[in-house]
Amino acid sequence: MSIVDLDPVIHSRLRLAVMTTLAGLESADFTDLKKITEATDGNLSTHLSRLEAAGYIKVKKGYRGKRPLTTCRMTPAGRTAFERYLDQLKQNLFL
Amino acid sequence: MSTDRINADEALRVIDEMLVHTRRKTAVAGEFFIAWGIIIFLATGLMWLLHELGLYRFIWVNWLSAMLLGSAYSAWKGRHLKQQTGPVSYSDKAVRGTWIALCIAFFLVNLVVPLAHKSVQPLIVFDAVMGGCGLLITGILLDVKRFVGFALVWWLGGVAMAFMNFPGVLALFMAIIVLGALWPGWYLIHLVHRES
Repeated sequence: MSIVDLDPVIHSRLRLAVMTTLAGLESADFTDLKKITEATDGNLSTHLSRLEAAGYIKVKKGYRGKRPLTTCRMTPAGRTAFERYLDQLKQNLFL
Repeated sequence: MSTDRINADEALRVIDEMLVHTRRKTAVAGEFFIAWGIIIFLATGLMWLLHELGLYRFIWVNWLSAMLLGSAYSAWKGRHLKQQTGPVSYSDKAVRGTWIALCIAFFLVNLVVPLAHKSVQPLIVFDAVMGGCGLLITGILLDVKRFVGFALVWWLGGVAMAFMNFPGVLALFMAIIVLGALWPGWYLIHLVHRES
């Protein structure tokens, strides 16, 4: 198995960082993800949209008090895809 | 963080970096250990005093006050946790759930048993054994091996206390709180400072 077999939706530096972060959390808000991944607002938004479009994460927009709050959580499909990605990555590393 | 495509080694490095970033709130767990350790230490001391003064039947007031004080601290701290430390991981939630369950068990037993029995010994032994269980589970969830040692302090102390008389049993219990609650709390805070 070669590197091209890795899930292209996850296999980018920022999307992988987001998926890894969300895998260990119930949910994380946009600010937390930005801080953890050290990404810019625009960049993070673009990649979150890509993950959401693939059905790997669920993005919920709401408010905390009067401030807008965007919360992300990994979907069951996203968790399955992430586990599959880790398996594929393991196989790549031990090729 | 750049968003270019990566090879397998880089992917592994990204995963490693993110796991470090999302480390559990070890320092906060340490603060909880210290706060609850101090509260229980003082409540045990007061229990001793009440016994000496012949007011053992009022011990439930002592433990109810300790429970309310500890719960108020935990609620206040919990409310500020999100702003202080970011998202809460599943490990954090499991540790919190474990200690909430144990605290309810501790206080139910500590409130009820003195009303029906005169002896403080079974109560203290139960507290020590349950404390050891809590420390072991916390150590496993937070991946801190030294907590096995702290759990042993509680369990061995519990066994020793079963053969001791009052008030020596309370003195040993207070020593165990220092070794098995205040020290682990300080150790967790120290661990985070060292790693960062």
